[in-house]
Amino acid sequence: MKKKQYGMTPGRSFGNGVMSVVLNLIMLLFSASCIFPLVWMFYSSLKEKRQFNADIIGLPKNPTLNNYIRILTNPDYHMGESLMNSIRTTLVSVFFIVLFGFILGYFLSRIRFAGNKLIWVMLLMGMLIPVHSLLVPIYVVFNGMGVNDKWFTLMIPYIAFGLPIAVFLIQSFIQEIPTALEEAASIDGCSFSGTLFKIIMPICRPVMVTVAVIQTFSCWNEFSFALVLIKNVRLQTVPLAVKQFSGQFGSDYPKIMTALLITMAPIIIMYFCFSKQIIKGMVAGAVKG
Amino acid sequence: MKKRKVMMSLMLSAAMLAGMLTGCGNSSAPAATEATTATETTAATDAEEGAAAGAELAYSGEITMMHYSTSEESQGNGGSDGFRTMIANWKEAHPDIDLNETVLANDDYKPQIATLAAAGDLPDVFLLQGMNTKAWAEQGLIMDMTDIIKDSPYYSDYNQAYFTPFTDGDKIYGLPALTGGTCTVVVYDKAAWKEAGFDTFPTTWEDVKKADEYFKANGYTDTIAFGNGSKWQANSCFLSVIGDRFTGPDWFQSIIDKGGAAFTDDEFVQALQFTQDIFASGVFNEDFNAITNEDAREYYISGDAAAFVGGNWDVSYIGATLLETDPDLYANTGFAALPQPEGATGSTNSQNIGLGYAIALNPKLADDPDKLAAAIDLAYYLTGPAFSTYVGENYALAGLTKTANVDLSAFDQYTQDFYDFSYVSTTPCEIYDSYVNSAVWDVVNTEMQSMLNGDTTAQNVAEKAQEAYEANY
Repeated sequence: MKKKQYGMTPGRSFGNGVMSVVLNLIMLLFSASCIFPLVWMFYSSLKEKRQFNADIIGLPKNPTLNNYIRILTNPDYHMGESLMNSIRTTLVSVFFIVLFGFILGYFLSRIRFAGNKLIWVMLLMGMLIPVHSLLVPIYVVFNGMGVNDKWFTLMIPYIAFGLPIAVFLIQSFIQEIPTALEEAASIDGCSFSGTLFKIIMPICRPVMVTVAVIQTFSCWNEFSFALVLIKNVRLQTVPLAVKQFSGQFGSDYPKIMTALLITMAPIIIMYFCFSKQIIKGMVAGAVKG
Repeated sequence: MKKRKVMMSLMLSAAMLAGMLTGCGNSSAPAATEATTATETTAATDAEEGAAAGAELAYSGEITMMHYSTSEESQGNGGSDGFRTMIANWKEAHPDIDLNETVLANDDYKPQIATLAAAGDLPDVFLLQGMNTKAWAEQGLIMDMTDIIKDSPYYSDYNQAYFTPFTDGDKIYGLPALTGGTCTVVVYDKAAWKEAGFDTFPTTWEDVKKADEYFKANGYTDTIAFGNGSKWQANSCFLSVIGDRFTGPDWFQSIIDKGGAAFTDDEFVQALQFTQDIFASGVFNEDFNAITNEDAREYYISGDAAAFVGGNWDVSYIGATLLETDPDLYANTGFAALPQPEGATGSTNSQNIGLGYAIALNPKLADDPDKLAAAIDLAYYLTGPAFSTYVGENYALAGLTKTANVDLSAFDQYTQDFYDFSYVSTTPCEIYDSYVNSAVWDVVNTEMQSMLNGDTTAQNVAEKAQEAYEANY
């Protein structure tokens, strides 16, 4: 049944229509400004360097896949290895950030103990102290311990510096969960770890997804630690591998864009696979956090 | 739901396991070595060079090395290609030595090597940037190579002028590496300038201004294309030479030696003032401060500008592109030094050329004489006649070691003319930012960009440069 619109004059209706068109146009403009860089990256990757330098914005006159072929077939670019390194580092780091973040967040939220505040302060420091000021000291410590330039090297700072935000988000989420749940589980004979992992963890899934999403992007894109702690080109992650297309006096932008598109693929695939979870998690995290 | 959870856990576990296994494989993989492309080892001279690299060495084991001649950098860059080829030859000649290379793009190399220096963990052999010499020598991070250089079998053939950026007092801290290419050259269309009434490129800026009127009236958008979008170009590719024309070489030597010269000296302020005036005169493209050299050279390639000012890296790009797209312009392209500014009393055809990096050694090598001998052998080889011959015969470039009778007949006129400009018919002067330190040049570059925009004066730039110089050097 058609809803009757009361008090709408033809003039106001026309005004609303114009307003709606204007608003939609503005939204369209914003959307285009978000999407255009990606489209530009894509069609620029089909240009040769010379053509790109001659016309930065224009569409390719003779589209070619040469950049893709060069990047994927030249072993000197070690793009496949870099991708694998990034995937491995990101997966392991995010897994432990979420796991440790959940356990630590639970303890800080539910249990009062002597070192409670100290842990808070330490976590806060992790967020407040700029990472760049810690690069050299961390390099010296890692070097002294012999853990520089290993396949797991980057996971250590990624987990350490990813934990503060994870703990704060999860801790504030757990505070909203009534303690009655744990009491009921305890009365029913559930062990402490059982309560933690079987009762509380599933409830925290939305915020854990939020943490995982934030940290996945953060680990995938991280540059400073990767630059300083990794010397072996076979252990480089994607952000470093992409930089090799910038020379001392110039950059090969079509190759950079091609490499970016290739290395973006895993993240995009991941997004499409888990988009429902991610959106749910983001919304839940936003409200509870 | 439960099934999905199990699936997800399984997937994650499998991914993690696969990742870890790959990782283990990597950690036990041979040391970081970038494969050398086949093309790099096919030069006719390789066999001889390889043999020359085969001096007997007592050392066997690892030598760590860090440089920035990546595979990408070496494409079309003769210095990088030669450097990588020499490394491959040396490795082949010394199978008992594991030369463990870390190869990063230049932009990443600089912060990485600075971090290693700060942590006291520099590799055995590395490339030292001229401007770091004094500070790193003071901190004991680099080996005094004065005697090593004097003992070199190629010492008499070394171009002594190239050692200046790596010298502190009477000590030399590196063997200048890669190729010496000009940082300031005018690339011009000989036919167009002839039509404008100039058989060769004008030697005074007054004549350039006259030509500017002609070009603007005859369909050219710009007379000279220039790009200072990254801020370093106006310094490296213009002021270094114009400064030399006004101050002469002694003034800059005094700046390097802290011998009393100041950025606020009249001659240098005049050079800055001239730079501001000539960029405001309209002979350059209007957007020179917004675009980079990479964009500006396209103005020349497309025929919109009758000339371009840039460095040797632009010359190789312009040549390769014109050869493919505009053979006529390629054949008509000539090279010239910057015209002489009015009132300048220095050399009239100077151009800044030099080697910005040198092979330096970690002082810790002294603990192991055999290892040190191997590292020295590597340094000699990478900067010696084999390298110079390779870059001379393949790219018409020159390195630290002079080579007699470089046969240029195989090269076309474009390459021969540029070789003549770079090494024969002009007077070399220093590249400012190979010396002093980056803190000073950051201030100069930023202030100069504002000055060229008309936002500040030459005197202010000079004063700020002097402040930075006193505070950081």
